[in-house]
Amino acid sequence: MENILEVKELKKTFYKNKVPFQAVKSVSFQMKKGQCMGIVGESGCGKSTTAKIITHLTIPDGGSIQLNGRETLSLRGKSLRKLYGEVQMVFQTPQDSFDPRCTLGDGIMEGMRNRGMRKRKAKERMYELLDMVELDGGFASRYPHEVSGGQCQRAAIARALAPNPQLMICDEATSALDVTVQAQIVELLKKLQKEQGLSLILISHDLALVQNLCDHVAVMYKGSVVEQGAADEVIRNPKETYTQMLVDSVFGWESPGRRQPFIYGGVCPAGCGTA
Amino acid sequence: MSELLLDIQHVEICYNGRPVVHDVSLQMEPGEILGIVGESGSGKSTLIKAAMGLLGDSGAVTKGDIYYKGQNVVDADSHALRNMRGPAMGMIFQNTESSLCPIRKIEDQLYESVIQHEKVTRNEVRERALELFAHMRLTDGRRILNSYPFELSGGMNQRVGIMMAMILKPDLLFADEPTSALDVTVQAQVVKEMMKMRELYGTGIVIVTHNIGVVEYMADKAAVMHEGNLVEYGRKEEIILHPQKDYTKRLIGAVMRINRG
Repeated sequence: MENILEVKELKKTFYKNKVPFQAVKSVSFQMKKGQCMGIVGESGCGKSTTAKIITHLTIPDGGSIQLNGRETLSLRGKSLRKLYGEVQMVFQTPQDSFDPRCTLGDGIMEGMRNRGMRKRKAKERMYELLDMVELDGGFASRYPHEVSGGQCQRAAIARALAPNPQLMICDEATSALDVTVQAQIVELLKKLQKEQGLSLILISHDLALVQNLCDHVAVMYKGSVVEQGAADEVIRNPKETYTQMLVDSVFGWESPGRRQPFIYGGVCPAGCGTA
Repeated sequence: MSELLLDIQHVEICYNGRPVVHDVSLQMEPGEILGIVGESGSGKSTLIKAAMGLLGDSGAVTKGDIYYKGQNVVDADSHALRNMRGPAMGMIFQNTESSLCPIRKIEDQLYESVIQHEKVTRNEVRERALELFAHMRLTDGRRILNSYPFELSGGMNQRVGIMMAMILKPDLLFADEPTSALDVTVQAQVVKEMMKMRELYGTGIVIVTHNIGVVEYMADKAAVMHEGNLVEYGRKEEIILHPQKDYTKRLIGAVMRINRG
């Protein structure tokens, strides 16, 4: 199967008060079409920056990104506008990503209208999308504060699906939701992946979620990918010390006798690839 | 029999006249850890707010009583509550940063909260804070005390919250989603620090969370709430490993678990 996305040696440094901070040091990975890829790591390890670079929201200092074999970083003008439709993103707090003064329906249609779609056509598509994410048509006329977090996240997914993206990036899309709602959203993502042939990148610190949903996983630490491979394999048999510690700090309860070691200060001990 | 630390008897809580918690009874022995799980809106936070007397103007306990060491919390006046909150009952919130003043340093805020209850000097407060930080294995306590809340990370703010609650050595600590906003590795540290507090001071802890793994690790007893009702209550092993009620089964079934080889 062909690669939908190839990321090579991404680098990004931010400056705060002229002090450089290297958010992304070296990130390379590939993903196949229709696959689900997980990126895990602690806050500040560069997961979200990587996602923003892929969606072209942040311009990296170096590296290359190929979407369907086409370099995206050098795109300008019309072809860049097209890219924005091809790669879509869903964020952690849906309530914040919708305009509080617009109804969900208008919020979903806005992108389509901006891409030049007729109002009537956009409306039809909007109802189709709501149906796809299992929301009632009545939600189109509701405001973000009038719906629950889970419903709002569904609407955000509908909005992301509007331009028929090839790649959807979910940045902690389920982290703010209740476990039961989280399970529903995960089911929805699984369904969409299967039915629409959508390729997904799931950014999360929930290793259980990644293990359940993703085919492939990349573990990031301090701006670099320290380990990657088949999700189940990496989480069951971590090779790197850092991954091992990350897996161990998750509270599980299937083996009551097991007590986890803890990481102090998030410091990776010697032996970890990036220490 | 020893006196109960916390005794919640058939409590009904209303917001603006509408009942949101129905007939909940829970008992806690001193030094016990109780985990309350449930979805948002199930009334778990409301219940512990009622126990702290923090329901505000629109909320009220309409039936039943809450006793802290035999003392009625529901009927206590604001003066009595003021004296109880802090030295008797401490509280940690989900986001400590938002409950701290953004324009004053941690040390000033800490000192202010301690002198409400004790006659101490600034130096004594600092010493005690540093001692607590040392128990948490945080070596740069001085830097933390000298920082503004926004200068600290989420996990560090949460540990400041634990330290501020523990400096008055309460017998009962309410923790409302203390780990939900944190990374897994930091979650593990914060949970361990709360356990350390019980070890040091014999503090009883009520932890409200949706992370069932945390309850399994910390708690002695677990309570499951759904739509304002107490669905199931008992020893955590029974609740988590052998749930009886359908709702508990569904809730626990919805949690994705990590599968370690």
